[in-house]
Amino acid sequence: MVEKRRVFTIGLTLIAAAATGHIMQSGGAFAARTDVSPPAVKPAQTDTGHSDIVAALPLPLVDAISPERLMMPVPWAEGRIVAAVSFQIERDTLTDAPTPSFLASSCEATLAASTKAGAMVDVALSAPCNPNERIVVKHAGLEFSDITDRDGAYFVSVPALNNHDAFSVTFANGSSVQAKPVTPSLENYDRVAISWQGGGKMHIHALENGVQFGDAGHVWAGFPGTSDTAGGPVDGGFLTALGNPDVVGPMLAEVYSFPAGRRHEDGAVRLSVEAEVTDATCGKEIIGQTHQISGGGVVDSTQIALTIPACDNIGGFLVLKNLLQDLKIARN
Amino acid sequence: MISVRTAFAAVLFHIILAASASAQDVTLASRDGSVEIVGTLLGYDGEFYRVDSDYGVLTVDGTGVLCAGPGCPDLEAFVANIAISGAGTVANQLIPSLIEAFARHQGYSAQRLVTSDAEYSYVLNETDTGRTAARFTIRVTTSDEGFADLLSDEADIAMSLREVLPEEVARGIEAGLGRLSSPAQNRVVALDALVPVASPRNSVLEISPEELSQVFSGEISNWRELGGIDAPIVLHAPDQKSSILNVFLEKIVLPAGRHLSANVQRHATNSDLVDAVARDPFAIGLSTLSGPGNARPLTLTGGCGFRSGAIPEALKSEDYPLTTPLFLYLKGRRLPAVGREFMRFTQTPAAQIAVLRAGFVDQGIARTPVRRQGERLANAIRNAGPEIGLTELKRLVAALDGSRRLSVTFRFDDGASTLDAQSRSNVILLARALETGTIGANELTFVGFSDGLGAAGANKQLSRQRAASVREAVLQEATTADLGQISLTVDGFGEAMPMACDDTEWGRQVNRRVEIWSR
Repeated sequence: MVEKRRVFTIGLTLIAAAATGHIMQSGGAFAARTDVSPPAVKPAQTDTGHSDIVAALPLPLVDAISPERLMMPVPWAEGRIVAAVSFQIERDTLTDAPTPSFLASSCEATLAASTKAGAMVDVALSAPCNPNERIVVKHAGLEFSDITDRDGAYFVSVPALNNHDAFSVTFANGSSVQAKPVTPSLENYDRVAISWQGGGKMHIHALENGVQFGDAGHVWAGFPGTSDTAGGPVDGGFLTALGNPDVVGPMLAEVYSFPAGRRHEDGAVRLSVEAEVTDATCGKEIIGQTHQISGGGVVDSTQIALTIPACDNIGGFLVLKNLLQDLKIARN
Repeated sequence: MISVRTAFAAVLFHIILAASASAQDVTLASRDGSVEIVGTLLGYDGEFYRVDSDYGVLTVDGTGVLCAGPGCPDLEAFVANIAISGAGTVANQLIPSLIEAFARHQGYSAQRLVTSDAEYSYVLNETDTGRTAARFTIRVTTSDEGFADLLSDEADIAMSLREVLPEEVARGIEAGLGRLSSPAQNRVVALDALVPVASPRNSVLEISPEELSQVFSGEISNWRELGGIDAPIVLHAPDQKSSILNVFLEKIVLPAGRHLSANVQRHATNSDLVDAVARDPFAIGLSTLSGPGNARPLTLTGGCGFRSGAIPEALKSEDYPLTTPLFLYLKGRRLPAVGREFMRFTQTPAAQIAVLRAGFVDQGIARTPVRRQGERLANAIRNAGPEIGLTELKRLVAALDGSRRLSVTFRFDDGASTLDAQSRSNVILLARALETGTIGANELTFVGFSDGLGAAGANKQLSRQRAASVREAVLQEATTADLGQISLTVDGFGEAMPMACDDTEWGRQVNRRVEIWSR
């Protein structure tokens, strides 16, 4: 994950650098004759130096340019600047028509979905003509965005939310591929999920067996627990974080899974959601969805809009104990 | 996304509009111009204007008049705003489930807007046009504050875990909000129950209401006295404002002449309480069936062989003595159309599914075959003696044979013949079932029972009279029922089949009842 994210960041940085480099050359006239809106490039930066483009480029600029635009054929990206930045980019993304990467023989995108232990589904994408491209993975109302690698490949393990909905991947141009796994054994899991747009920092916190914050049995992104993908019995739940916060237009999700039917006593898992008040989110509304399933049953999806506290609360958390219903665990 | 933003703008616009309208004048003229009402607009619910005019506050049907003046609402952009306030248990667990089920049922898309744990709202949009039809705003408070908000016009609906108090009824009448205790102004929407809980590591599994009152008043302070190990009992209770605590005090502690011990750990929320009890093997706490979480519910025993688990059938029939219905209370004033549809929805089978999924007991009528009533019959035989002879027992068994008991049961407030809140709701439930023909029986017998105080003969007569009056109440409510299809008969067995001991008030109240047997 770390490796992939690093590669992706460099990729986008270079692309952005290429774009910026060109804008620096064309000046104000550029904005007037293309559909790239001016705010996408901060004016202050166009005034700065030009020779060492990659080094001079501040990272936030990456977020400012949508991948859709970057992946479009780029008639204005003429040879000189691009070549100065990176040969790889010239080959893979900045040509007029998509060309297959080294290994692929055709442009066809394929998706494979295979069920494994823990009611998890391995989703593997091969899209040789869509390298370094923002994609949206969808399943049963759950959506998150990520990016393909330089070969157009992408892999993720997703907790299944139901037995019948397929998994799909949508590309920047709106086309999609989908795959349906062998029915996952969902009845052994209770699941709750939250998905949201815009990249705010949000986390599900699960307190199992009446434990308190910070104790063993407090499962969250910082202590995600382990799924039983290895096949061994695991008593506690586990958390799966989905989506890539560094993608432009991030759509993120967290899923908490609890293995039902392994307990000797009835019990409950207390669920809360904490949203951090950051300078990017303060005073804003975060749009998303919650999903709850139990015993392989229907997914209850609710559209939500969270109002993050005002900007004098930066560093604080909006703690919502009642957004998700606590899981009731029935004894085996 | 864009449509959602538009919806917010529309809602916001409406709020601003409403605020400015309240101070300004309107003229409502009948379409032929013959009648004109001038006044200050107090409200518009999408159908009716409420105007403070020279003739007092008038409610005027919007279809019959044209509105002129700066105070007139924008009829096209009308959004029904419904404010709901009250008990956290209802607000957090039940209402989201009910509103979302209602939205699905009516074809609205729903979005939940959250600012904190203290307040949230639902915006309901028409799926095809995206137009916002309604906004429900929910304040998460207590039953007390819910009534206060209702009485001060801050809320349209109050959520409560208890019945309205006489002084609240009086204030409502004074404020022109109708009689909150009248059946038209409240609905039971789900059932819950008070349950004592202990840690799963505690060996004590049962407790009687009498012991429970002794424990919480401090008279019993060691688990040994309850059959457990030699260890002090640690008391946990909801905080002072909790309706659950009040139900417990009024039904169990105060009637026994006792008071709550000062040595009690208080908890603001039920989950905090239950988890604290679960962690401490010497703790006992007062919780609810809908939320026992990680602690273990204790079975209530009657002290003389009776035993009552908080199972759904026992809640529906109030055989479990600490059943606590969840109420919605209304002002004696029309809600906007969407609000009225929502209230109607809460009484439908679709709403009962939402109630169950939210972790409460629904009000659907269940039927228990006689073969599952063995324990009750055993009670009857145990209770037989000089007053209840073999002949009467045989008559009871013959009447039970082949019949099923409906979960709808009618119980009475102290001594009197007035039905308690859940039973009043049951009158309506049974009447609707008769009207819609969903009982699935040829004969219903209203069977009266009494407590064991007084002479058996008089009790038998009294129990039969109560059964007859319940039958009468149901018939009055079931105006469109086809009574050619089903016969409604009456019987009474007095004290013959007790369900609890008669030595406490709650026990006698459980015994005074009218059951419904179907064939």
